[in-house]
Amino acid sequence: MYNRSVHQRVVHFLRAANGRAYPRIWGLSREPSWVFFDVLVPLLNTTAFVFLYRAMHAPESYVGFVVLGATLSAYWLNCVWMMGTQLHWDKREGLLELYVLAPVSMMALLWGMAIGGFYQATLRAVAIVLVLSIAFGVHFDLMQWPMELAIFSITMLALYGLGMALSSVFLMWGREAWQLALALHEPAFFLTGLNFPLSKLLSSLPGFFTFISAIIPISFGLDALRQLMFPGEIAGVLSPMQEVLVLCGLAVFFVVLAIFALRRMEWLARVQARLSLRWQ
Amino acid sequence: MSNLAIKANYVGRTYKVKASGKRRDQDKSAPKLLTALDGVDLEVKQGELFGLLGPNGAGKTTLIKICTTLLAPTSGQVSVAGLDVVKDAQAVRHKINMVSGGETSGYGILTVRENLWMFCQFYGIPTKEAYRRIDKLLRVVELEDKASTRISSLSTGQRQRMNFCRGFITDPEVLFLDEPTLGLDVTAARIVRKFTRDWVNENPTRTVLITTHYMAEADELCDRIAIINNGKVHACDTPQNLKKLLQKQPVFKIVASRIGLEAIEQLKTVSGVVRLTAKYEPEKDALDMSYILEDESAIGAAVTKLTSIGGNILSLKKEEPTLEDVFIKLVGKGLTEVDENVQP
Amino acid sequence: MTETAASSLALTLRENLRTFRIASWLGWQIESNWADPIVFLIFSILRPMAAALIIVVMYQVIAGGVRDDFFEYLFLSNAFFVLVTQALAGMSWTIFDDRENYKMLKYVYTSPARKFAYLIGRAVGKIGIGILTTLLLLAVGILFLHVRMDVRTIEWGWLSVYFVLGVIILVSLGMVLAGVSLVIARHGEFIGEVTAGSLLLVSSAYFPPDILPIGLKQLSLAVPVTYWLEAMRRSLMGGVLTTTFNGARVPLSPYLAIFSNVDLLLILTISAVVCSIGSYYFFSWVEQRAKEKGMIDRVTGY
Repeated sequence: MYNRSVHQRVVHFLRAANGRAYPRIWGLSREPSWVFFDVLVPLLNTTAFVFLYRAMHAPESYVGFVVLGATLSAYWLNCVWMMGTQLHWDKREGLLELYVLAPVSMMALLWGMAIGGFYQATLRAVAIVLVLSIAFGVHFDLMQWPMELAIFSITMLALYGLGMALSSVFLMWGREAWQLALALHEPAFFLTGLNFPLSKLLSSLPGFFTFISAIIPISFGLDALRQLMFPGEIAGVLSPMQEVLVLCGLAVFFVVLAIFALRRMEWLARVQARLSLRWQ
Repeated sequence: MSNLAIKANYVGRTYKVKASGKRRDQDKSAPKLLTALDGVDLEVKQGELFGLLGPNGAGKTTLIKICTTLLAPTSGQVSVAGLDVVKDAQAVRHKINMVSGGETSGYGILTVRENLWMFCQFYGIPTKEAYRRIDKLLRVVELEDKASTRISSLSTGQRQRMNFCRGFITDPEVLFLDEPTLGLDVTAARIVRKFTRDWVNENPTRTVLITTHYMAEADELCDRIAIINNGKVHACDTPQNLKKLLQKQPVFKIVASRIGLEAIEQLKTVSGVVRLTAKYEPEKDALDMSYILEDESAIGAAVTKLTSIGGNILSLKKEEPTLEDVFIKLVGKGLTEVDENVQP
Repeated sequence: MTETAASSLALTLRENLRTFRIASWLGWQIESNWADPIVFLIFSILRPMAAALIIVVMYQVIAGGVRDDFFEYLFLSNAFFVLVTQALAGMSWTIFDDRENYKMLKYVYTSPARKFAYLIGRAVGKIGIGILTTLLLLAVGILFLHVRMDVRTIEWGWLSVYFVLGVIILVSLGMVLAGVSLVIARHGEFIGEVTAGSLLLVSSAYFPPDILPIGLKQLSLAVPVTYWLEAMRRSLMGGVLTTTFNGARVPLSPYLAIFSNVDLLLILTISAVVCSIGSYYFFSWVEQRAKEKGMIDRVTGY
């Protein structure tokens, strides 16, 4: 068995993650058209929802909810499409085989993808929140910024853990998983309350939907942040602290699930020869 | 400790086959399972440059994928560098690398150097060392002036050279080359072959398994060759011994000036000559003679006799079966025939 | 027309039809081969249904159960906007799919296949699904969400004409996006959908353009989709949608109410002509740029 110290393993892990994050981060600067797709157009899209609320004569605080929802949606989309489906695209390019061939944990590569993806999503999120806050006069209450930062961090950890777990599904299946993700895109938007208060939605649906909603880290992360950033304007599904505890549980669950699912899916993919099946 | 770099022990691999583009209600007797490998036994010694020859669909790539832990065998066992490819897959990966011909391995948006550096990171190679190896290998394949070029701007041959570098850059114990000179021009292919040979010779712990369709390449490079077809190994030996399967005795062709029939009869009596056939070629006004000898050393006596009876030698060459002749004899078909309705 | 010109035209038409037919078949194969047809249909419809549900829930949450024509406005716009998204996404996605995933675009380009017919044919599957989804959404709206649409008051004549003109406009816009797709990297593969998303703001899909700032309001009048959605709403509801203001019924969008049905027909016809011709020339120009940059067969993923 190849024996290496813990230090060597950690250094190798970090090197691999760094290597995989590199094309994500530097690729942005070499193909500037992403500014249009990832920043400008979502701004317009979110603005449409703001005007929709105004057309419905919704309370002004709903504008803030939509802006915050749009900010976090950048991470949600990045998680599903740039994490989950990336292995599918890599398979099509013939790169997946080389990744599996390398003596590196798939988790390291996924962490690299997550870091690169987080960077991409953050650029989009910052642009959205800055431009829209100024344009529509949205004020975020940042008095509890340590708690808000902690909630955001834990939400991201859980979210990208989910992304890693999803990528194991894409490792095994290709177009079926991709189409499934595409089909569940809007239902996920619906159940996470990205565009409206989650509590109002869930109160009108059976309890089962609360459970489904809670599994998606964005739901409670966004709900907790809205409660803190717009105090008194919104009743949350649970208190922020309770939601943080749920998110912590989800973070641990998804990361552990990702580790086991990746190993299992890689094994199944090797047995069923799906690692190099390009156009399934 | 075993000195075998690769050991395949009755390895089998089957695939479920999807129906072809024909209607599914046709040809119901079509097989549902495709056997890509059928009880393959193979041993590759450490330090060998081992060739795997076979037509399309023979099972070469399947065997390589199993050895490189990309595919699990359906039956049998494979060990690489003394480690089981199924149970110790992660450990095996530290000791191997693979280069496949005709593929673009990398991101189009990154430069050659960046792509190679990225793969070095996956193997845990520190950046400084990585750049040193990258620069060295790019010089070998004459790609150093393209180091800062995005790979989306490279030609097919240039990408393959970059791909080639990626395989050697990690200095593996066992390197799998799956048609590595595909897409390379003559000069580049020659450089690649020479480098591969030198690389193996440099360090006795290094082993290379190469698949190729270029018989001359296999003949030139490989210490031993296995010929595989329909998932089975038909023969495995040195190129010379494989050729001897077809022709045990050496054959020499001599073109000489015309001599009389009695002289030809005299030549047949030379010691060591098993058989002599001669044919007069009017266009050349010369005699085409074919000597089958007991041993190569008998050619000296044959030449001496010929010249002593007044024959003027115009040309002399040794004729031996090519590897292609051996291949066709063993496999029974050319390299380009493929089985129909096969989709792994 | 001379005999040579006539036969040349006939040949061109035949080639176009052949290319369109094969491309449609291919597009359908690619779209649907990952699942059983029934599963495929369910998934194809599930997504837009969920999008519609988001809007419905948002309305219910805000309006607290109070209904006026704004619900119909929102619902009908959303139903037809599905078609906008599918048409815009269909052709641009074809470029990325063929160029980056299947690496077939270069072979299409080197073949005598007619490029426009090919792109439109490839998008037919998506557009067909869009039409089906819209019809299902309307059915769900009438049956379960009590959308106040009376089949007896639907203006079928106007509806048919407006629909055809709308499809021409959307396909033309899709062609423009397909052209843009030729010269951008793969991260723009959702250019169709994100462009449709940005059209939400200015096309009166979710709200009357009256509430927009003056600049955006004027922009909305320059977008053909604005008129098309208004035309579809009117023809289905039998007239302009209204709301109550100070006890009186007033148009929901006074800004759009000034246009009569004939005005809408004229605008949409001109738009269809301009968009078709414009998209043809734009695509040809961008295609040339793509050839100069070597983008027809370039892989750009990272």
